Amino acid sequence: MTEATSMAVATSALAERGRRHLGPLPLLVVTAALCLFLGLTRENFFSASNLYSLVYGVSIECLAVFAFTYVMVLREIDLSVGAVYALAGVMSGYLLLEGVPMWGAITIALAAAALVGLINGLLVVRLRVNSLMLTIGTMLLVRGLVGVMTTTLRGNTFPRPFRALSREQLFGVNVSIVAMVVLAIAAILFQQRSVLFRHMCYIGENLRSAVIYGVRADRIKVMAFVASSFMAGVAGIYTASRITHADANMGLGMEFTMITAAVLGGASLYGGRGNAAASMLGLFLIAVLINGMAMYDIEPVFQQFVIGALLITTVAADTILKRRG
Amino acid sequence: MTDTVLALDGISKSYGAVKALTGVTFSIARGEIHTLLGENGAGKSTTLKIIKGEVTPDSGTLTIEGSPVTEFDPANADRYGISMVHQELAVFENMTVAENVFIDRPPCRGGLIDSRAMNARTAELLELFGLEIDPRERLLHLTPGQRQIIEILRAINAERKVLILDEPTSGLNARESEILLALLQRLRAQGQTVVFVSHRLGDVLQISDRITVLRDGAVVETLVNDGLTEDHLVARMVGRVLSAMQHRPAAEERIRQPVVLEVEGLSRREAFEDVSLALHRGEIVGVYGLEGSGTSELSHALFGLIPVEAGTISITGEVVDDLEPLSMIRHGVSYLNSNRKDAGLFMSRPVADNISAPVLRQEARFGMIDEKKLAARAVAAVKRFAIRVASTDVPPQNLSGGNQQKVMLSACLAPDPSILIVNEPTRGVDVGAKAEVYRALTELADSGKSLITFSSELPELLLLADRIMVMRARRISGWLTRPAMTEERVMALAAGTR
Repeated sequence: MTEATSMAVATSALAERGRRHLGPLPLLVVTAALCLFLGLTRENFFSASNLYSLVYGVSIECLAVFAFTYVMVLREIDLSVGAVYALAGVMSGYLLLEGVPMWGAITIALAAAALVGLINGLLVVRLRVNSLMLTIGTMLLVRGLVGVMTTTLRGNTFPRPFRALSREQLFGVNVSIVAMVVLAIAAILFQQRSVLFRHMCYIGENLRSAVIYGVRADRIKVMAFVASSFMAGVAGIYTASRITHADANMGLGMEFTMITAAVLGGASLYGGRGNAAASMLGLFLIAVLINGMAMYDIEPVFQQFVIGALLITTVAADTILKRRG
Repeated sequence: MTDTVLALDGISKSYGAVKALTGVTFSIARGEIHTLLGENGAGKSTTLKIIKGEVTPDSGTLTIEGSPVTEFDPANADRYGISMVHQELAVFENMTVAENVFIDRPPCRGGLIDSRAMNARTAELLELFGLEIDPRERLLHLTPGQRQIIEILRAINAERKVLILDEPTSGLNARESEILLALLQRLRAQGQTVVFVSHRLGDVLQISDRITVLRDGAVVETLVNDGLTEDHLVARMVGRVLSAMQHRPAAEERIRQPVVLEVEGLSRREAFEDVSLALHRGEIVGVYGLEGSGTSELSHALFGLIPVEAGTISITGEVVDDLEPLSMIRHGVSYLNSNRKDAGLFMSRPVADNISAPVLRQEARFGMIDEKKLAARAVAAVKRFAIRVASTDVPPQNLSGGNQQKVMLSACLAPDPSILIVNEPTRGVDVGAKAEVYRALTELADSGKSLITFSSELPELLLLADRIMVMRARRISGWLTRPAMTEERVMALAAGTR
């Protein structure tokens, strides 16, 4: 092959890549269209306070969806995120009221969250337990612990320094928003260039091939489960500080929002792909949808119906695309 | 033959450029045990598929009970009363023996399954063949041999005209296959027509009335089993003209080269026992064995893909402590998987990504990938192996089998290994690409790399290998070195009973 044909091969390679990867563009268009529709039909949608509270609310969940997406890339799933989120939040409050210093309480709560992830990861890797069933188990188990702790905490408001955490600001916005932006940029860089992410895609697409080529599949899977729980824990602590008291219903159903957002963002239940930044955009779309329904005075019960329909649609679309692909 | 149940006349079938069958002609008489014999890929399974109606032949006629079959459709088996017991077990582990026997049409009373009648009938069948199994036992608790027998009972219970058994004894131990063969003889005594496919020459000679030998998609001869010996069969199974390629010379000199890989007493339960071998620098060792001989498990174990229970693997004199793929790679070993659809490729990721999969870490700086380096590597591989691909960003799923195989080989060679474990290097590859793969493997050995090649294609091994290790019944049955390596000798070691 001559130099010229090598060049031709390389150039058409770029064109091919462009054609196959529309990426999160359709999601962006749909979200923008929905925002525009709500902005034109409801006068207060585009108000600064509404938009800010939307972004602020989403930013906390974004912390959790970041690592959750990478578990899906590995062709696994972590349904215990919502429960772990509640565990970290309630546990830090519980420890504070027991007299543990604030940063000590936070550290212990995060360690507990990470431990749940470690257990998930080790069971998946060592015993080859199906992660869907396993994490339903850990979800119920952790929910039980949360229930016990909230019963002892009933009615107590968390100490002032802890409540102040969520009001902490950086560059004039809440810290969680800054964190979201940083994570989104980190995700894009990580996905584009890093060896680790490429290895994760290999594992998700064909575990046995990955093993033949020397990818440390087990180690990476455990790491991802730990990261998923840890990030859910961070989000949980931040939320606990924001809502100022322990709530047993914290993060209830959050795992379903996460799956919907991740699949909207291009992750597949069949592994091998995913985009954490786009998952964050998916969360934003869901939040806008809920916000819009509230503005149209749609019953909260019916909101659940819409989220359910969205989940089914995205998952069905994922399965159909997989079959064609 | 007086009463012909089934006859094939001039049946041909091609898959693309590959001729699977050419002018296959033979007939099966009522009440006989007729064996189809041939190497892997000789055309046995295509022939069976045509008989069952799953595959439409390009030309020729199939006649069943005197009337030619015009429409080929999987429902034919049912229509013409043909029953097949597959190589792979198709039993329901959590159901009872009786439920497995009556899978399609359980006896009913008032719309409900009549368990009592079902168990009674199954007990009769079991007794008829001298089997002491409770009809209410779950299949889970039976041995593989017993399960195989239950599958056969299912076929018998359906009372079909022709019963086809594809490699029924490959998974069985000696006692179990004895029971099975006795069962077949008893069936013949009742007038049942049986088509038997097996590699085990001893079994074949023991029970067959007639034997049709297939080679390269054509019938060599239909023999009446009267005074035949294993040698007669072996001579007809092989004896093909080798392709034009010549083997590289001076095989005996390679044994004087230093040993790079040494395997001692490697064992794994129900897979292989006490395997020892030494691989020299620049040498190609071939491993041959028929299905169930343990070669495929051995190939996996040599790369640490499955654990072993005993034995050691040393590379350049150093024992490998943790037998797992990553440490084998670090010792300079690469592995080419036998089935690229299963593992070895990432079908929907770009070719460039596939080729650099084993060396991503080395090609990166601070954990960040340099796409240009990957593309350059892929372009070099495309050039080296003449891979026909529009761009290095096309995923393998859009490529032909031969090109997929070359992509997989490129990935294996990416870490510049000194030892290659090559498994079925030309499976599902057309003739042209085969020659290219052979040339690539030979060049690797000439450049001082050492190869262990597992293949079910005997001519391929004879062409490539300096020495051949033959396995039978999970053990090494012999070694053959170049001048003494012939198809007959390999086959006698692989299939014979001596």
